[in-house]
Amino acid sequence: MKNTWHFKILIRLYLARVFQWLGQQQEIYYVGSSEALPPPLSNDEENDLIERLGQGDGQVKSVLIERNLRLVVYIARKFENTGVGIEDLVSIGTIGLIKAVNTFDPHKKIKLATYASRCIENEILMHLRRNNKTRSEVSFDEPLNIDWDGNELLLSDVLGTENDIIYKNLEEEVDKKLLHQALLKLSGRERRIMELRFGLNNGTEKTQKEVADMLGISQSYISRLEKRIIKRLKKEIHRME
Amino acid sequence: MMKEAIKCVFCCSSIEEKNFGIVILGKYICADCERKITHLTGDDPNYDVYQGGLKRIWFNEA
Repeated sequence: MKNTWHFKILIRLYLARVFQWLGQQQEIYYVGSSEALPPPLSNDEENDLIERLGQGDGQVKSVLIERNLRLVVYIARKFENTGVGIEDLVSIGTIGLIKAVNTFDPHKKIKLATYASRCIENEILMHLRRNNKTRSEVSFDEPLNIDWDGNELLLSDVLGTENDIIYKNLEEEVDKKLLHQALLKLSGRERRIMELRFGLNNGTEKTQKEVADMLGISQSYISRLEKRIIKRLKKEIHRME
Repeated sequence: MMKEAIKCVFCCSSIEEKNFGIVILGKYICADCERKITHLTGDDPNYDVYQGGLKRIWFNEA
């Protein structure tokens, strides 16, 4: 007696198929199978099952789902032009149908097929949106172009940070060391002028006039000295490289 | 002869009356998996598992 509950459900489902066969209704088949899908419920059948669902009879859910599987196929076919395979659309739609039967409120005056259609369509649309989102994400290894020799130009080949920040920082570090060594070759006054003018040693940059006032010499002399010192620094750095 | 136990196509747990969920095209889904499917969101990591399982049911491969 204990094990008879599932036989009852199976008998109910198979009887539905036998009635469909006897009625010679238009048949829709399983994906990849010659077995026909159960036909939709008649109004009376649906009302009866929904009443029982409202009374808490969970076993009628299977019948409601199976007898609405054609609806899943019908809606899935509307999305066939999206590039998603019909088998995926049908399985996603079935998730929508299971959600529909489990969340259907029999007290609301709405047909199950209407509610289920929305759930199935929503489920498929949600999947398509999710897929589109993924499609807009591009891999760094995405080939942008392939030349005649078959060499791929990857997205990562053309990507860089603003002015190649990483390399720039490294190069700046090297330049700073060279500059520091070159500065050591200058006389005390020349080094002081450079430090004041360019804010070396964490100071602030000063104008030629300010430096001239600080050292008690003319601005034009500072200008001439600066040019000469920079020329010499360049030469020293070039020698060290 | 021993009667073969009915198993859920997703979690393979034995299905008894107390955890019976639904039957789709002759395949059993336990109440727990049915509840999980009902509450599936698009970003759920298990979404593809359930979708793939239902696909196998449709393809009669489960």
